[in-house]
Amino acid sequence: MIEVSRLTKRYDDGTVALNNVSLKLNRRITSILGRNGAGKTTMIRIMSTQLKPTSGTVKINGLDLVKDRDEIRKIIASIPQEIAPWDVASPQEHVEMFLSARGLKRSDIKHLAEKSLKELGLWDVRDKAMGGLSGGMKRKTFVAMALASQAEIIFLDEPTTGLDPISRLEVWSALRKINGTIVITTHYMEEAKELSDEVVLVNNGRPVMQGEVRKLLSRFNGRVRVEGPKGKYKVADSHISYMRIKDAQRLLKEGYSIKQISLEDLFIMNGGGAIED
Amino acid sequence: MRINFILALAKFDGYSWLRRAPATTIGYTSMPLALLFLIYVLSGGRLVEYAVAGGLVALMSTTAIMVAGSTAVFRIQLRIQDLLVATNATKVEYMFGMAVANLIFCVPGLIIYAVLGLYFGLFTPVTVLITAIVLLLLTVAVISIAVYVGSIFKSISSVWTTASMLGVILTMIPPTYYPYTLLPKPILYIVALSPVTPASVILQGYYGLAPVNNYMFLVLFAEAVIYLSLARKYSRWGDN
Repeated sequence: MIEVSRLTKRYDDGTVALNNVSLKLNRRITSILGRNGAGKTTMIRIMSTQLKPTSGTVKINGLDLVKDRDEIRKIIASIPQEIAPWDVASPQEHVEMFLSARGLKRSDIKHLAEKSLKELGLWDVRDKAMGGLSGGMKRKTFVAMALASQAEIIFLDEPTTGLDPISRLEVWSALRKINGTIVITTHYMEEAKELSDEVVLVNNGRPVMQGEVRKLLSRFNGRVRVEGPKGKYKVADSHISYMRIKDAQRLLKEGYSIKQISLEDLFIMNGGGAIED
Repeated sequence: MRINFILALAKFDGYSWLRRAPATTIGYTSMPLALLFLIYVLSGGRLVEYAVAGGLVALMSTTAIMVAGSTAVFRIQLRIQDLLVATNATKVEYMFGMAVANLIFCVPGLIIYAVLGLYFGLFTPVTVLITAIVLLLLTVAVISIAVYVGSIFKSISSVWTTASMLGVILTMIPPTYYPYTLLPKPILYIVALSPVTPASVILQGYYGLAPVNNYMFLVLFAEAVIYLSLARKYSRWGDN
């Protein structure tokens, strides 16, 4: 369980990345969704002890982020968004080094590394230099680190960015097999919907909505998204409105199109605009 | 201090590189060996023992200063430092892991200098022990400086520029390749701020090339402790 209370992060240049955020995360897989710059990465970096909060508190499984930092680091694993591989080292060397940093026993490290590399389809290239591997394999190596970590709580910052659809499915499949709690950030709607038990929509440094995708969408049963020449929300070149199906059908003749309401629409309604790049 | 992690990081950063690009060791060894050759030619062989003693010190210190570049790449370009910050790894373990990783590259150079030292009769059981202690203290001191430099700049190019400059200041100005007795005492005390100076003075003394100056042991030990403490306190490690 992660409990965030009145969390604010103000960087040295005055940018307020998180503004008085309070939330509880207690589901197995939670996705934090938001546009670039919404505060997702700052939130995950604070929760994973990489950044100090300006004010507020974070408790992870009852441990205080500031006072019990070393204890928290024993139970978490975090894979940063912008991490890149060391080109001369192999996938196996990456995973083993990470497990060693987490303090696992040498006898466990070999076994766990092998298991996770096999799980992600990297076993055949385990000894190749990362510089010679595809972008997808490099990214999957970092997911293999998380998979092998045995951590109670795993933070993954945009774990599937840049992956092809098949690799993305492999990563999702691997993440579902992790026993611990997983918090991921993403700007892929489909990923959040398919993978998470709960989503948190973040905009301008604050969570604007939280809950199970199905429940969040059920609030809009009987309503649809209408796109056309006019609309309540302007997103890029589109004008979007939300209305009852009966009302929307009348607009079909005027060149409007109708779509089912999705996670992205919840975000648009809350002032976030379109999320996916 | 967890030795397992230090060795795992050294394997990840250093051994993996050495295994796939063994020619890298040439870069680490070439400068001291080139200077050895130059001094041999210019002095007609008279100062070659100084060049061997100085080459050992220069090899270790230039290798150690390269840690600045490695730590900068891991912090700025690859973000591997961010990955490690959120684990049980400590700043000092990370420092030593990166240090051992880089020192792997100077092993061939050390072997060459060991052979040269034996050939010129510089080594006895006592001087071998003294050499090992001096090189260890020197490495700790210079790596501490390197880790600090590698952690403070925002761009890798700034780190490389500063590290190159420091490499020259730390190794070429001190009496690495010439007798320390040539320096006036006030100047010797100033250049003793570089750990290379006490290291060179001690080795020159025990190799019988200049008078023994045991005070320099204290200076080198103090510098290793002070520079390590400063690096531990002031080098950046996450946001904490």
